[in-house]
Amino acid sequence: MSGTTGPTSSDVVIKICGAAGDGSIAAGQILNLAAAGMGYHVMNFDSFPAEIRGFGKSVAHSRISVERVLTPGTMADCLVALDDPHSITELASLRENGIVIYDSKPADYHEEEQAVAGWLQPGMIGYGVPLRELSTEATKGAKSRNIVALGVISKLFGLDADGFRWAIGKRFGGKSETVRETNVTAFNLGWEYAARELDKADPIDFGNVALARVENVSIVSGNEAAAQGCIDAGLRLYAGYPITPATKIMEVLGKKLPAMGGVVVQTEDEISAIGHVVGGGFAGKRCATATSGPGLCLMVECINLGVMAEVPAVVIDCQRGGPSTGLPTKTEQSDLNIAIFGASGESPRPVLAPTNVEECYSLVLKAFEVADAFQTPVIVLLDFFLSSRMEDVVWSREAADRFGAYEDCLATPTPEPYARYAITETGVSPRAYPGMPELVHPITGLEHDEHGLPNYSGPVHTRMQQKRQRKLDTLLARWPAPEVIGPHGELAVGIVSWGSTVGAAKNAIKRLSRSGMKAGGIFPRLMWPLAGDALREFSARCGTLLVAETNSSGQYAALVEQATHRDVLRVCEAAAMPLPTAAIEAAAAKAHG
Amino acid sequence: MGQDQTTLGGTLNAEIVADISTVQQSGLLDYRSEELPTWCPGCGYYGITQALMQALADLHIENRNLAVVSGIGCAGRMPFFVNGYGFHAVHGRAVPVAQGVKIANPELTVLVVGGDGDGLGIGGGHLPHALRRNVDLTYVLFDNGIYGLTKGQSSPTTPTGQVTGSHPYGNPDRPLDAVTLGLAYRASFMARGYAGKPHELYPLMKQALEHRGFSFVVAITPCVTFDKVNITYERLRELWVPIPEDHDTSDLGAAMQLALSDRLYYGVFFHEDRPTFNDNVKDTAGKARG
Amino acid sequence: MAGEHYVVIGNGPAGNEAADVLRAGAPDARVTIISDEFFPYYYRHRLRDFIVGGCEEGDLVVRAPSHYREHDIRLRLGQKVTRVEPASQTLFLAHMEKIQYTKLLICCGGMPRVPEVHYTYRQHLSVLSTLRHARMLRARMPDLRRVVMCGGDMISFRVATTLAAVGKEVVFLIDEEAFWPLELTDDLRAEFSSALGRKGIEVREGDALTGVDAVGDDRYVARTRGGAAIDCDLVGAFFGFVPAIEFLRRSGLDIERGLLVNERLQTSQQGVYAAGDCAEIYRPDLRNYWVSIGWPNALQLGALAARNMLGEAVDAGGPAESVFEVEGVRVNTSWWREF
Repeated sequence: MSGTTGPTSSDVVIKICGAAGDGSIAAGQILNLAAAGMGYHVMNFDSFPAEIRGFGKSVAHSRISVERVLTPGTMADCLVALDDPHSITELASLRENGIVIYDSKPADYHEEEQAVAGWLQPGMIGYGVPLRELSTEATKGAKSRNIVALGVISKLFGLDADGFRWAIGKRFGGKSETVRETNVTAFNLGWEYAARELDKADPIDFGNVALARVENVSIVSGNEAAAQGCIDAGLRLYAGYPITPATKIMEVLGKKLPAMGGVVVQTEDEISAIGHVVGGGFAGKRCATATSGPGLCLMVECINLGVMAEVPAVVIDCQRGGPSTGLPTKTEQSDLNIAIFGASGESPRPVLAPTNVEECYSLVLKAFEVADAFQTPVIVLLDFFLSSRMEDVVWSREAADRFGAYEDCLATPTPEPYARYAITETGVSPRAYPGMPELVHPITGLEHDEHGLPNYSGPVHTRMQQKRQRKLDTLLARWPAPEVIGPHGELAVGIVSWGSTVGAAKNAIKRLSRSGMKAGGIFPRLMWPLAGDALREFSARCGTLLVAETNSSGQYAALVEQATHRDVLRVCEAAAMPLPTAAIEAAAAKAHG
Repeated sequence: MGQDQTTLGGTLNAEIVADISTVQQSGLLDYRSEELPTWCPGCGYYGITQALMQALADLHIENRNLAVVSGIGCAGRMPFFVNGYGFHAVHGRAVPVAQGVKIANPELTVLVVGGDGDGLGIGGGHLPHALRRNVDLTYVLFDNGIYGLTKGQSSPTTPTGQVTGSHPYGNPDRPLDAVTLGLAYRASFMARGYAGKPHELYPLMKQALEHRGFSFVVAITPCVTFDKVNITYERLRELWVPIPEDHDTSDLGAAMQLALSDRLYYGVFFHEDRPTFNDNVKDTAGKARG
Repeated sequence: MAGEHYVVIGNGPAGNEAADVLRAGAPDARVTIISDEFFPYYYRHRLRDFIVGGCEEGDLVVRAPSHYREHDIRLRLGQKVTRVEPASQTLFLAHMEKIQYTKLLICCGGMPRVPEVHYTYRQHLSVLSTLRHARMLRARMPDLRRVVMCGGDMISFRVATTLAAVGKEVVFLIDEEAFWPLELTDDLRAEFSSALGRKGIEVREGDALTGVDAVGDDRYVARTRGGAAIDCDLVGAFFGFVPAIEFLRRSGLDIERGLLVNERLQTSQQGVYAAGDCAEIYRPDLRNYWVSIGWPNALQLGALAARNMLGEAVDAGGPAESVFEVEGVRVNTSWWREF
């Protein structure tokens, strides 16, 4: 393998599978960092053992690509088997001519059917490497088999070795010099073994080029990005309750926020958490909480209070399988209804939904602005998939402004008694909060007049409901129109999608276009208020209008139908996993052809 | 004021004019909004409110820095009658909301008010944790042993046997005692007062406001409309006993004995100075900055 | 793992017939076939057509993997057995897996024989036995002009005529080694020579290879006993086959050139059987072992071994009479049967 004219590969999916303790996740992290540091884009979606005492399987799933990665990829190109019995169960997700890297010299013979190499199918390429032996040579133990395997990958696939060494140094930055050195040795031994002993039989080749040197890149999950969005927004108080899969946000903030002058409180339950947030919002500070479906159910009451009393709050919902306790470790997008409508009475509130990890940062940052500017709770919908998958991100507050910029409307004292809920054209009243002189007033969850005093009369109620709705109309008018992709003019199929499903939808549109179909898509980030005009305009161009989301009834589909007055084709599955590109593509192809 | 009840109306004779002027100078009115309370005539809440206002005036709390958070119930109406920032929140959630207010802006003086249902029933789960965290605010629990606003159902402190809207044949349950709970949760300031003696309640309120930490004050009051039998001014006058002068307020066990006794003690049961939530926040920030 | 486990080493005709019989006769047992080739059961005799592009890989397949799934036969492809331990009824695979068997059938076939005298230049010799060899040869076809073939076993005659038919120059060195281990009469040898010659093949009778020099990328000079130095692109070694049983050397099984088995195809170790090209079968009437080679023999013997493994007591009779023919030249053979 010499004298190659350049890289022939632009995309690869690598899975590193081991038992808990084999370091598969750590190896995945180094792989991602190495690739991102070289200017590639990465997406990572690990899976962990369900049990707390993990004897179970740990799989690091990484996709490395020249372009921004949209989906993690259903089938892997390469499986690194750090633990044979677990890796056997992963073979089903290896593509037909996939690659398996396995330990050719384990400590002892595997029992029958416990060796991954005993399950290779014709077409698959097996590279046996003495991982354990090489690990022991480098670090006196078997624990760096994962790093040895990275050396093999680097050599086999032409991913620059220096990039890996840099990533190893960074990953073990907090440890001793010896640890860093021995791990680099383990990597080198793997690399040299591959160079010397392996006959390359696979076509993957990235040409040992670095596209760029990106030293300030972070590989982070949606949750970590959301937490960073909170920090950069100047979060004063985070009150939360542990719940899968949102807990990480609290943990990250718990470490980072105190040094920035913020406070993190783990409350006794979700009700107390949202109570704290609404209280803090009343006091004029940026406060937030994060939860999942069951917690959001508990929070509805105080969110409703925030809507009625016009108090800012940011609630991040990391959706998971429902209803009720549901499927705590599985992804789903079935909280749209409760986010938009969950309340008694008419309770309009903005709902945002990021589509990738960078947007988890940008939209959370914006959520605070919107909450303050429109004096309302704002719900940001993530999901398990987005919360836990990792992508390469370079933080940029300026980039978040592509979603607009929103200022507070604060009151100044006048001779008149202060009217906290003064009726205005935009619906937004000049706001005062505790500490501001000469503007004292009460707020309440009861219907109230412009001065905040309880009032149950019909005309007052009507005026106030309209005011609260009008705030959202104003927001809709100022928020940028939803992203639309595809050719101009008529489309055979238009695909509507939101949240983490957008990646698969964009992939599907690419494939459909390549096969000659006129396909396009529309992808809102502001789920509510509904971008009715934009949806109608898009729908008018489409032969078939398809809505793709991971919930079984088609929650956004119903809203789209309502807005466009037509039937939509639902590609809505709640199968405890992200919607595969193939499902959307197949449905579109079938509808059209 | 030497009487048990406050009244309004009647011709303004010179005595009353003098009283009004005294009141104005006392600064009480500085904390009254123009809204008139909607409580029944004779309700103990008037007395509690008066005691609170007096304490606020004595301490010269600025109106703009005053935040009163309430739950749902007759006591919940307080924020509308107070000249300060008020938040009439939802049932049982005043304590978490108030904590949020104080943590967000520690410069504010935060007062939480609510009834026994609000605080010990639906809000009962929040109380122990608020007391653990010791956020520096003052919680006045208006304990009248009944759900008044919804017209007379049993509450967590309704005496056994009382006939109420929920128990036409008499309440079978044992009532909770807020002071016992507060001591069990180790409130850093635990006091009980009586609405019928606002001039004795007011120094407790003042102490509570001055205390650094979560001050828990239980104000016992009759509901003249829905309980004409058990918790009445007459009966309370009989049961009421001041905490002995020699009681050591730093002795939790002794305080608990007082709370558990048959007598209805009033005064400061327990008081200790320990780090407030905000002290801990500063501590954590220091550790985080290394 | 519980239950009876019948293991067959070898995915050729003997192994497959045996597996079918075992599966039919023991519906509840586990049946496993192990092959070191990463390709399904295929027709060896079609390899020469494949080499010259007369057919594709798909046309070589006798049975696709789906067949084994349907019959619940565990097919392990691309896996090498490194050791057999009859005492513990265990066999060991190169990728460090061990398998327990109840009964084992070895039909791993033969591998090309390269006589010792050619060892110093064996890296320059090409052989044809498996699909892997055939793929390499097929890849070379476009720039192959001249091939030197030496030895002269059964396969080589067919390969030579196939190559000649597609316009390749073939130089064939026929010496005493031809038809090894059988010795041909000089007349018969001459008849084969002229038959090949009629096909445009340059035959050098009585000549033998003495050296091969690499003179460039895939360019060689073949030196012969007769003093010739032939420029060529490939030197093919066709010296016959020997049983591929090196991995059994320390197993305690009796081995001569092949695995020695009795009339019931049982080896010297309890529970281990052998059939096909790798075996030498005892003939009580000859008081000697006969070597069975070729596809039809393998089919028959595989099935027979399986029947014995299942508990029958069937003797392998002697081989059937047969005739080997190339270009009109016929040889009676009892031990070699073609298709």
